[in-house]
Amino acid sequence: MKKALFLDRDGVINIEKDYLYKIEDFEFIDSIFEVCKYYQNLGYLIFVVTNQSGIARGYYSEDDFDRLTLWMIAELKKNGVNISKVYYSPHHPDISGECFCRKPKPGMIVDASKEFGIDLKNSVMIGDKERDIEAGLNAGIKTTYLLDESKSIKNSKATHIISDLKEVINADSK
Amino acid sequence: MLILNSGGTFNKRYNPLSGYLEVPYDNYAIEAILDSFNKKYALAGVVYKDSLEMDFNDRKMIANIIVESSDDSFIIIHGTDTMKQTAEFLSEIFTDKKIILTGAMKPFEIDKIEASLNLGMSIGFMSAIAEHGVYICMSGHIQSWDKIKKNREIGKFEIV
Repeated sequence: MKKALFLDRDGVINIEKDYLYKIEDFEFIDSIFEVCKYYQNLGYLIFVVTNQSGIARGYYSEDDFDRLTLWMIAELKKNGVNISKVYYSPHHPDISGECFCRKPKPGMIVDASKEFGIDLKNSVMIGDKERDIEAGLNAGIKTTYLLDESKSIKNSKATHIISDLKEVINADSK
Repeated sequence: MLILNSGGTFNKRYNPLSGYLEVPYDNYAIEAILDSFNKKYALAGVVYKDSLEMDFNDRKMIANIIVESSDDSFIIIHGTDTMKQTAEFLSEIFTDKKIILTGAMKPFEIDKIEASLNLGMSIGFMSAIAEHGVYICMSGHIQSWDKIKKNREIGKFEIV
């Protein structure tokens, strides 16, 4: 079975901006390419798992999301990073009802595991919110990183709290 | 270089059963032109539609093939009515590829010269240009997609 790196999108791959859907507003976070290439070289597949309640709220459409996603995948590829698949939850419980995919539910990660045959126990999750970490834990991922650039979070279920993505490489290579 | 066939008038053939010109589910017209070149090109069929029937999902399918491909240059055979729309969509996504959209005002089956000329010009231009970008090759012009448009009144593409 293959190992995988699961990445939240907003706040991990790109700088968090509320309900981002325009290509011109998308800014990659420093080090994301380096972190992805590190795991890619170790043989990990890379997946993006992202909550997109802006679709349920009507702030942008699935076509808007798809356009941005295609661009993001193309830019990552240009920088040597291959994304195996982007999973997204377009739901919000108050609008579209409960679902199994919106983090902290593990649906998107479980779907990736089934589709690609992923060894979740030995996979890695990186997120910037506790619900990302919980989604990883709920799916059975043991190694989780909570990115907290503001260094304000003291308690988390994550195995590591980091303030810079590069710390993932340092922690993993120990 | 990868040639993608998304259909359009370029490919249309007369269907004696329906009595209409239809976009067939094959690459016959492109293959017939390429057979006259002493070189092999990779060719894939993608959508097979009149471009007025193409929707976002069809354009996404084309973009996905380009994303997945290891090639960096693509010629897309496309219907002329929404060629510019697809070109604009692809230009938003790809900044490191050479993409040329071409087609024909008349089916290859009816006018073999126009379709052959457009595909031939596209292949030649692709090997000559260095700059990444999305281009349209029609009516004897090859320009960046935003500098050329179809004049429906005279049935030709013009520089804008």
